[in-house]
Amino acid sequence: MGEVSATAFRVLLVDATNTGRSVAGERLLRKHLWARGVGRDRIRITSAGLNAEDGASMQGIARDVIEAHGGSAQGFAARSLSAAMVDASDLFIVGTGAERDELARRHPRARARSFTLAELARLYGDIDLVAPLHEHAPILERRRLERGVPDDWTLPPWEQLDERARAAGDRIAEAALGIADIWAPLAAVAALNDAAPASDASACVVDAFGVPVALHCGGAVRDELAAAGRRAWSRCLVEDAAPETRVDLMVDPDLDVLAEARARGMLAYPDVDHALHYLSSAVTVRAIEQRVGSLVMLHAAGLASPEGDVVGFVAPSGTGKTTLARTLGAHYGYVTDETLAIDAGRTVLPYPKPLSVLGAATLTKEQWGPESLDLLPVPRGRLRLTRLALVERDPTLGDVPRVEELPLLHGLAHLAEQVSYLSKLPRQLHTLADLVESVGGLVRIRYREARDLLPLMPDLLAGER
Amino acid sequence: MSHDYRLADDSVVRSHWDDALERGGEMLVLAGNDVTLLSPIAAEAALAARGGITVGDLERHLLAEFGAPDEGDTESAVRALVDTLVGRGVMSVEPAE
Repeated sequence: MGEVSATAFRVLLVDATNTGRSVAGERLLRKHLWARGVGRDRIRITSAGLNAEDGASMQGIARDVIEAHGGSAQGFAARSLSAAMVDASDLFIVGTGAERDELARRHPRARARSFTLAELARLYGDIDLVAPLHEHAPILERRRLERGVPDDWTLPPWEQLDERARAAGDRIAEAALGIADIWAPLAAVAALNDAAPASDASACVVDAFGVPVALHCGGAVRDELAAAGRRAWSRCLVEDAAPETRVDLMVDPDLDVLAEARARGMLAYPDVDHALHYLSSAVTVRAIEQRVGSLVMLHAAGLASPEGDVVGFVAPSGTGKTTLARTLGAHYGYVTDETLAIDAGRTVLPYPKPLSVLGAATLTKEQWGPESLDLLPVPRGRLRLTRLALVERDPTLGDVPRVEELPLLHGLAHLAEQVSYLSKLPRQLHTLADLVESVGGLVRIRYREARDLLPLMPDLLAGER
Repeated sequence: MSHDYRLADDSVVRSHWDDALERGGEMLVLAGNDVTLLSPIAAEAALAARGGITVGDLERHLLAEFGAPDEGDTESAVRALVDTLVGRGVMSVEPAE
C-alpha cells in the first residue's frame, strides 16, 4: 500500500496561435494553483497552438491581461502542438468550441477530454466532483453531452477588438481562479511530518475505508471548525490510529492569513461551511490515493443489512447517490454515499462520511453527519458485498423501477468508468470481472425516486452470499 | 484551419492494450486509463493490428471476414473505425518513414 507516486495531472491549453488566450490561461492557472500550494509536480499546466509558430512571443494584450491579474508573463515562447504533447496530456482546455473540434479532428486522443474554459466553469459549477483529477475528463465529458453546455462566452462585438480581448481576459482570469479552487484540494499534499495521532481538540483522525486521515484545524475559529468537523465526521472518528495522510484545514476572516495558509497547501476558507465542503473531497481523494492497487474503489453508495450484507449502487458523481443513500439509509446501514471500497475477499470497508445536503435556508450545500440525518449505522463485524447495481435516475418512469441483467462485458464497460485507478489494480479487468461474477453479475436499475428502490432491497440483499 | 488527415492505404496502424476480456466475439479492452467495449468488427480489427498492419490490408481483412458494410463504402468505414480506436488509445498510427 502507500501513497501513489505523485503522478502529475497534465493540462494542456490549446488555441490557434499560442500567443493570446492559451498563454493567459496557462499563466493565470499556474498563478492560482501556486498560490494554493500546488506545484507542477501535482498539476502541470502548459500551452500550445494548433497553428503556432514555434518561439513566437505572446501578444501585448495577453501580457497586459496576465500582469493585470497578478500573473507572470516571463519566459514564454509559443509552441506548435505536436502528437507527443497530446499523448502526454490528461485534459485539454481550448479557446473555443471550433478549436476543440479541430483539435479532436487532428488528434483523436484529445477527443472527449477537451473543454473550453466556459464549459469547465459551467460544468464544475453544479457538481461536487469527488474523484481524483485523472478521472475528471470522462465525468465532465458525460455531463457536457447530457446537458448541452454552451461552449463560448458572450463577448463584446468583434469590431470592439480591444474591449473584446480584455473581456475575454477577465473571463479567463475568473475561470482560472474557480478551477484552481476546485483542483487544489484534490491535488495539494501536505507533508505528513508527524505520524503521531492527533493530540488536542483541534485535531482528530478519521477512518476512510481503512485509511486513517489526520485532520488538523486552524485559524481564528479553530475550535468552532473542529467541533463542526467532529460532528459531521462522527461515524468515521477513530482514536489512537496512526494517520497515513493528513489534511490541514483553516477558517479565518483575514484574507492575508488565508492566502498565506493556502500557499502552504492548507485548505483555507473564510467560513466553516466552505471548509467542510472541500474537506470531504480532500479526505476522499487522499484516502483513495493511499489504497491505489490494493482495493477496488467504486463511485457507489453502499447500504448494509443487519447481517452485514452490502448492496452497492454505482453511479457517476452528481447523479443522486447521496439522495439514494440518505433515503435507503433510514432503513439499512449507511456504508457510504460516495466511495465503496472492496478488498480481494469481497469485504466492504465502510466510509460513512458526511452527506452533502442542500440547506433549506441558505440554498447552499451543507455537510451533514449521518447521525444528524438519522441514518442507521452498519452492524458490527464483517461487511460483505452481495450485489452491485448500476443505477440511473429517470424522472419519466413510474414508481416501479426497471431492473435489467447486463451481459458481463457490457456491464463491465459501464462499471469500469466508475472505478478509481482501475489500471493500477493487479489483473485489472480480470479482477473487476471476478468481483462482478462473485456477486452474480451486474444489474442496471432505472428508477424515478430513491424511495422506489426500497421494495427491491430484499431481493438485492439475497444476491450472492 | 482545415487539413486533410485521411489515412493513406499504406499507413501502418498498430493496436495495443494492457488487459482484455473476450466473450461472444466482443472484447473489452483497457488501454491506459480507458476501457472500451469493442464490437466483433472492432475486436477483429484490433486483433489484426496487434503486430501492425497497413490500412489497406486491414480493409481487405475486414472485408473478407465480414463482407461489405450495409451502408457506405468499406474504405470510409474502416477509416472511421481506426479513427475511433485511435481516439480510445486502442490503436495508433505509426509515423511515416
